[in-house]
Amino acid sequence: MEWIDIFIVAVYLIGLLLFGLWFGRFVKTEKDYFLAGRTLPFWAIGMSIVVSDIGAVDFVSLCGSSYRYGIAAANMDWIGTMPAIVLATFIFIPYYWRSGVYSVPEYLGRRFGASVRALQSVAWILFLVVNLGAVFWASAGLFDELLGGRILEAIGFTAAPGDPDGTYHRKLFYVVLTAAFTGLYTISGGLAAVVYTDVVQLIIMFIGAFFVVGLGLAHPDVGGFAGLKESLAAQHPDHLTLFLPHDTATPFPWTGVLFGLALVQAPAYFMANQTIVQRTLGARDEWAAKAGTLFGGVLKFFIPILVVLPGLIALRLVPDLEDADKAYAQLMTILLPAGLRGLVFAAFLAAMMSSVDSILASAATLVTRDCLMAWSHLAPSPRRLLAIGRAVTVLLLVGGIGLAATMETELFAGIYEILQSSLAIIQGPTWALLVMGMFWRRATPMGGLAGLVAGLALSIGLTVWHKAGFEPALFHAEDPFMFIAFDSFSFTLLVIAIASLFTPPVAPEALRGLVFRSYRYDDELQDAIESRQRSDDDSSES
Amino acid sequence: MDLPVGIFLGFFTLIGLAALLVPRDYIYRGAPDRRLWRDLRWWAAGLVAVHIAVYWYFS
Repeated sequence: MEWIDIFIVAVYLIGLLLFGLWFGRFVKTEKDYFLAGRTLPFWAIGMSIVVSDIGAVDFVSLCGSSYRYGIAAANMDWIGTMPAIVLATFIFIPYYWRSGVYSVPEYLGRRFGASVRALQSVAWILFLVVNLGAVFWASAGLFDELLGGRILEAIGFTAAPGDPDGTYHRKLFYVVLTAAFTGLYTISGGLAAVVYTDVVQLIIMFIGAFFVVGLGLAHPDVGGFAGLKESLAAQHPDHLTLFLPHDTATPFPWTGVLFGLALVQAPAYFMANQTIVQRTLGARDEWAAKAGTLFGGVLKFFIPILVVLPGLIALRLVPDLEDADKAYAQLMTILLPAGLRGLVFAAFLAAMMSSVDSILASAATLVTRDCLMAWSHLAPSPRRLLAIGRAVTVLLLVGGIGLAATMETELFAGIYEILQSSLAIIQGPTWALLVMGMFWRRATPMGGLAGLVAGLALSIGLTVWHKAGFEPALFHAEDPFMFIAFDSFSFTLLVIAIASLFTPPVAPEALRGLVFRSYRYDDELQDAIESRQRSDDDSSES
Repeated sequence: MDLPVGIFLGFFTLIGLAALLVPRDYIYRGAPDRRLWRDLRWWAAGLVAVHIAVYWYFS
């Protein structure tokens, strides 16, 4: 990258930081910090959902997946989003918003008890913190590849003892730089800063990524979409179908895509992942919560065009790449002139920073409200909670930097590989809890706890069996996590059902507002609850 | 591969139809007005239709 590109990136970073810091003036209570004071409009929610979901690593890995396996990689964002988003819009999100919870574990705690809340919050916090370290380190690698050591060399650093080419310390520098920029506005402005900077980041991301796609399709060796399709049909026909066979070795067998991804992993992601759900909880009204979710689904439709199509273009332009994950970086080198490279790099930064700020905001909410407040039974003032929330965010940021710094050790490589699977491990059981909790009144707290523990045990067991290569092999796919998610979901459902039937039912009054249709035909109760919520808000602000 | 295509497109169609059947009052709850553009049933139906088209094209 040239100095003009670095200048563009610097302007973007400083502008975004100042914009994010501005929101700090509006944060007075923990509700302002964790839920943006419940003022968010639908369009900001939708845009924030999309850019929080897509990180710089997704650009690299999804592009690499489509280079290797074709358009089937787009299933992750098409069928892997739309059904779940529609279900979330019309059922789960309205119930979360109406109940006034700050997090999904808090909802599950009201439905199934404190033990389930504790297990869920700890599992998600572990995943989020490790994910934070992983995002930092993976993105630092990307920046090192694109920027090199120019910035550090400009201040006189080239190497250190034990790191002769300076790679490790350069990456650490990029981690700290990114953490500083992102952390400052997140700690200052909370969810409002996160969401509105996400709006800017989405625009930058879309503009930059569309440039890559446009220039790629216009390249004479590609010949537009028709030319691309013709060349792929001749050389890689399997790259043009969304439906790969059940026994394919790729990660996208159609059965896994339907049963594992569409019916389990995607709903769990959009309805149980705090980083996604939290911005809907900050909506100004119930309609904005629903509309923001659905608008996010509309915008998400364009993501495969931005990250999967480049992989197919790269296959045409650079057909012999040894490492498919370098496809996007290669496209940037081939297609983009100086100046435009900086804009696209800013798009990468946007994607990465939006993931980091969302992870920070959601992890801080879970630690502060679902762990500290829930376990201590203290009820500090809203202002004191705000201070605690900010302190927790700082600690998480430092923890993320520390974890990132250990990413290249052998010990962590092993742990990281297992924990990268942790999303698939917890999604199946979590989704089963939500389904039973929302749709079956007979589900009991003991049933929920038994199901969660049993489901997690099965997920972990199947993952370890597959990773260790034990015989008999249980799956054809090299990456069978869609199947593991479906299997653990089904098993958890069964255990919840059986255990619930052997334990006393929950009183109907205790389920009001937590179970589907417990509000729909009770407008008087709904109005009474909303009136109480408004008076609670007024008394906390005074 | 006709079976998975049929299953996927049928699944999407069911989702679209279910979205269109959601009661109007439920859709507009919390909305400041009841203008047509706020009717989320049509947003959902449009999103489903686009997915049906794309999955049929790449089948």
